[in-house]
Amino acid sequence: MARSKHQTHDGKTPTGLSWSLIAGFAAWAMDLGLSYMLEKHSCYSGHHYILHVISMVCFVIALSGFGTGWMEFQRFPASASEEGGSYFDRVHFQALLGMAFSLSFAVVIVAGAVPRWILGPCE
Amino acid sequence: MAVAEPILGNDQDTGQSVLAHRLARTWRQPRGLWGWFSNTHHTDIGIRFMVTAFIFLLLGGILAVLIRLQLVRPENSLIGPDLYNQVFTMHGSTMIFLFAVPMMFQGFGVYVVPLMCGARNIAFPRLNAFSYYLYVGGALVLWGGFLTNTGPDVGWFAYVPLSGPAYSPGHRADIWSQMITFTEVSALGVAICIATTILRYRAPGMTLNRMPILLWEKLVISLAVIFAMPAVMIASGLLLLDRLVGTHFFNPAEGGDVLLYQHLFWFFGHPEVYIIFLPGAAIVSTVVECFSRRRIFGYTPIVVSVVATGFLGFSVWVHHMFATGLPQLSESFFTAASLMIVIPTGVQFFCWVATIWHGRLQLRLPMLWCFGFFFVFLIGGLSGVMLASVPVDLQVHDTYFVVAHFHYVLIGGALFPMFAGIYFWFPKMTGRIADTTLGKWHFWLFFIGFNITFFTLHFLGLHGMPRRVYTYGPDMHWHGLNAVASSGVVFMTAGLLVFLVNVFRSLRTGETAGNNPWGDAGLEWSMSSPPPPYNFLHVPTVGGRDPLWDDPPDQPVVVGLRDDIRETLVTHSLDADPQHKDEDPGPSIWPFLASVAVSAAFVGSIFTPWAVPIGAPLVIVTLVGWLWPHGPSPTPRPAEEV
Repeated sequence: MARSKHQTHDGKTPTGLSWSLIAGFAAWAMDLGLSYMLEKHSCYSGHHYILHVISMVCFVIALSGFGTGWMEFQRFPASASEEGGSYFDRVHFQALLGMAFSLSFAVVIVAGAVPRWILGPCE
Repeated sequence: MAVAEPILGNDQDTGQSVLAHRLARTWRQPRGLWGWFSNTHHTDIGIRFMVTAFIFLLLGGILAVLIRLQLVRPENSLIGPDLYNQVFTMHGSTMIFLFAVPMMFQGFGVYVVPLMCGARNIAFPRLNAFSYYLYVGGALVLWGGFLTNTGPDVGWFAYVPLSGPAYSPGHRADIWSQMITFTEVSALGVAICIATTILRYRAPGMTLNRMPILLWEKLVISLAVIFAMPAVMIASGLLLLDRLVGTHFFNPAEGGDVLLYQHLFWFFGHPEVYIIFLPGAAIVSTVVECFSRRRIFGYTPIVVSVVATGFLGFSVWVHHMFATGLPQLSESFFTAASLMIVIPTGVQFFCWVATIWHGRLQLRLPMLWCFGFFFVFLIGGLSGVMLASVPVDLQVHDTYFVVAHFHYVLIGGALFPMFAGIYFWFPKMTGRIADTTLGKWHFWLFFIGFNITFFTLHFLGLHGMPRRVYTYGPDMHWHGLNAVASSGVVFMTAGLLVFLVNVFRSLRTGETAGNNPWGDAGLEWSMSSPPPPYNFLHVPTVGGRDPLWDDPPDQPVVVGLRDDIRETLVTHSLDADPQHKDEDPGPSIWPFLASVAVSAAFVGSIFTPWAVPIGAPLVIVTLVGWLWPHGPSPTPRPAEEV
C-alpha cells in the first residue's frame, strides 16, 4: 500500500501492529509450553510428528507477526522516522520492533526444533 | 483531584526564585527522626536503598574473605563445617537478595528513573518507602539469625530435601525462606513503582521511541520482576508450609516432588541473573553514550535486544537442572535457548563498541569501569556458552568452574557497572565529583584482584574441586591454586577500602559538580546537584532522544501545575501526551509502620502459624492509616501566581 502524508489516526495502536508485537513471544511461549507438555505422550505413543507440527505451527505464527508488522510499516507516511515525536513516528518505531521481535523468535523456535529433527525428540 | 489540561509555554519571566521557594516549601520532607521515617521522596529512598545495599555488599564481602581464608590451605581449621555452611549460604543470600537486586534494580532505579522521566517524584511513593523498610526488615531477619547462630546453612537456593523438615530441623531454613518473602515483596513493590513511573510520568514529548535506553531496560526489568518473583515466593512459601504446617509439597514419600522446588526456584533464579545484569547494561549504555560524545549506536537493535533478553531469560531456567536427569527434549530445548540468549547480549556489546568507535572517547572514571565490565562480563559470557552445553555442564557441575563463571557474570555484570554508575551519578547525588586518582586506584586494585581470584577458580574447577566443601586434603593438590585465589582477595579488599576513603573524602572536599559536569544528555542533569525536593522547577518537555543535546534553549516547559500542593503530571503511556494531573500523597509514617507490622507477622510466622492471623489485624490497621483520606486539597490560587 502506498504511503500517504495525509493519513489520519485515532491515537490507538493498530490491531495488526499489536499482533506483530506479541506474535513472536506468544508463538515461542506456545512452542515451549506445548512441546514440554506433550513430550511424554509423543514419545510414549511414538507420534513424534506432534512435536514437529507444534514447532511448525508456532513458527508460522511468529512469521505472521512479521507479516502484519511489515504491512503496518508500509502504511506510515514517508516522513515518519524512528525518532520523531508524532503518533506516526511512534507507530513506525513499534512496527520495526514488531518485525524484529517476530523474526527473532521465529529463529529461536527453529533453533529449539533443530535438535529434535536431527537427534529425535525421545533419545 | 483536579483534572486540567496543562499549558505549554516558554520558561521566561515567571518569577523563578519565587516559584522555587514555593515548590521547595510544598515538596520539602519533614525533619528529625519522625521525618526520616516519614520521607517518601524518591531521591532519599533511592540513596537509602543504595547505601543499605552497599553495607550488605561489605558484609557479604567479609564472608567471602572468610571463605577464602578457610580454603587458603588444606585441612584448615579456621572455620568448622557448620559455620562454613552458614557462611557460604549467608554470602550468596546476602549478595543476591540484599545487595545485587536492591542496589542495581531498586537503588539506581528509584533514584534515577523519575529524574530521567522528568517527573517530580516516583509513582506510588509510599509503596516505594514501604518496600525499602520491608527490605531492611528481611535483611535484619537474615543477619539477626546469623549472628545468633541460626543462620541458614542450606545454600543460597535452599534445595529440598536438604532444606526440608527431615534434614534441616530448627529454624535456619525458615529464616532463609522468610527473608525471601521480605525481599521479594520489596522488589515487587518497587517494580510496580518504576514501571508506572516510566509508563505514566514521562515528560511530554518523550514518546516510546524517544525513551532513554536506561528507561527501556528498567521497564523490562520491572516486568521481569513482576513475573519472576512470585515463583520464588511460592517456592519459599511452600517450603515454609512443609516445614511449619506439615504439608508435603516437596516430599516424594507423600506424593510431593522435589524437582518442583527446583523448577519454581530457577524459574525465578535465571531471570534474576538478567534482573541483575540488565540494570548494569542500562548504566553502561548511559555512560558509554555520554563519554563517547555521540548518540548510542543502534538504539532500535538495543531495545529489541533488551526486550528479547527479558523474555528469553524465562526460557533458560532448566539449564540449572541439567544434572537432575531431565528428558532429552528438555535438555536440547534449553541448550538451544541458553545459546540463543547470547545473541541479544552480543548485539548490545557490538552497539556499545560501535558507539565508542564512532565517537570521541573521553576515558573518564565511569568509562574505565565500563571497560572493566566489557572484559570481565565477556569472559563470564564465554564460560556461560560452555556451560549451556549439556556434556560440559555435567563434567563441571558443582565445581569451582561454575563458581568462577557466575562470579564473572555477576560481578562483571553488576559490580563493575555499579561502580561506573556510582562515579557517574555521584555528582548528581552529592553535588561533588569523586576523586579521579583514588577512583583509578580503586579500579585497578579491584580489577587485578578480581581476576587473580576468579580466573584461578576456573582451573580449580577443572581440577575437580567441588563447591561448598569446607576443606580438602593435601593429596588433592589444590592448595597452590587456592592460595593464588585467596591472594586476589587482598587486592579487592584494598580496592574497596580506597573506594570508601574516596567517597568520604570527596563528600567533604570534592570538586563542586555543578548541574551537568559530564555534559550528558539526560534530563537528570538539567537541575542543580543534588536535586531540589521538587526535582524540576517546571516539568520539562522533550524534543528528541537526547534532550539536553537535542533541545533548543527555548524548549517549552509544562506550566499550570500547582505549587501549593504536590501536583504531578500524568502522560499517555505510548505518546507521553499530557493526560491529567495527579497529587503526590506526600510524606507519611504509615508505610514504615505497615512494614513493621508486616515484618512482625512474617517473623512471628517462623515460630508459629498463628502469627499470621494475629498479625493480619495489625497490618490492616496500618494500611487503613496509610490510605486514610486527608480531605480536599487547598484552594487553587489565581493563575497569575502560579
